[in-house]
Amino acid sequence: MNNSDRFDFSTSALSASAPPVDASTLEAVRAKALQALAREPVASSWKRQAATVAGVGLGVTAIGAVAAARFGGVAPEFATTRLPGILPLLGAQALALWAAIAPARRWNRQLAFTLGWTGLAGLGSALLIQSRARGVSPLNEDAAGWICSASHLALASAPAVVLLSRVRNISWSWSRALTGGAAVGLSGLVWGEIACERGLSHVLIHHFGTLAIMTAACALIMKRLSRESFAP
Amino acid sequence: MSAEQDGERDDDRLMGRFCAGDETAFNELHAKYAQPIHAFIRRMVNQPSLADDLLQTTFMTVVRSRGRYEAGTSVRSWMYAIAANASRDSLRRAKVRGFETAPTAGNEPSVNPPMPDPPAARALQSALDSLHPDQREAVLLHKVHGLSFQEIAETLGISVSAAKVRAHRGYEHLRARLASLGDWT
Repeated sequence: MNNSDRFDFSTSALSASAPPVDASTLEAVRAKALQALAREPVASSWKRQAATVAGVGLGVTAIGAVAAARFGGVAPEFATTRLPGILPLLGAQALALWAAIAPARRWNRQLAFTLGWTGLAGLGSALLIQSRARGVSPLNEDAAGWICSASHLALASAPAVVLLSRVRNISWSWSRALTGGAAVGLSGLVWGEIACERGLSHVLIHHFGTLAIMTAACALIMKRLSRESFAP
Repeated sequence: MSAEQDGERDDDRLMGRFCAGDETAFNELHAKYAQPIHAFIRRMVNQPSLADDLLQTTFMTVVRSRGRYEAGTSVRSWMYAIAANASRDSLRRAKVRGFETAPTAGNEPSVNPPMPDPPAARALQSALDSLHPDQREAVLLHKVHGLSFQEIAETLGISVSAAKVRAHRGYEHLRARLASLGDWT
């Protein structure tokens, strides 16, 4: 028998020699699944879950940013002038959160994924150009840089908890984890856009650096989470 | 319309009823898919007791996450995707902990009878174990479970060409491995 014949024979044997499974095992699996079905007879659509996560993430970000800006002594007029930068950031965040929850390989997930990352890249570049143009601003100049990093992390932690509680029921993937991490990290950028008026190096280190840390941390936590289910 | 397309439509109707809480529909899906999915998982992790646990995990996921199934897509691909994800997660965690998943003497449960033609089966399983899990999935789904490359792509969340490449590399590796095993047949 030559190698090719042996290989064909082998793969045929692979098909024929399916490992057997005990009938009691199958019955136990069925019974436990039926119990779960009885506890939750009506399925909750993934679209509702994705919309909930995107909505909660967005709401938490908006409330947190406004509260932080208000207690930080930022004038409402100043915050209002930043709305053209803030609203697209919130839009990119909602798209990215949607993409982090939607089933794999769905066209709308691909679209949300692409638009979310394109939005993040575009808006991020615009923020950097803007911060470079203004150089070193006198506003908030007395405050230490790490305060911005700490505020960024604190604000991003609320949507992170919401996201992490949901992704336990979804199979892990790098694209899902990084997209979700970047989405929650955007919360801090929104806050930065409202309350921070400093120059390029500060924005790069204390806002984009924190965004990168938040993205990586979220992705790694998602990877290590013990999963309850493995739906794609 | 082919028998396969008819089967997919039946599955889709069953999923629709199951998503609305119909136990009978779940029983039909379980009767149709539990055995082949168990065989797939068993080949993936090569540990009978772990395969039983992962079958349970797979069907619990099917129940809990049925809202993530979208009407009109392949139920078979969706179920194999869950089984593949659960198997991959288990293999990854075992690797992190430094455990081997291959069975050792004494941990084979007595309820599972031995596989037919043990020497050939052992050689095959040994060759399969030597494959990267990505290639093992593609080979098993294509050769043993009869999924098309389109279905494998849907199952694994990759492109059709990537599915073909994984299976092809897997076959090449198996061919080389089995050739070196001598005349075990």
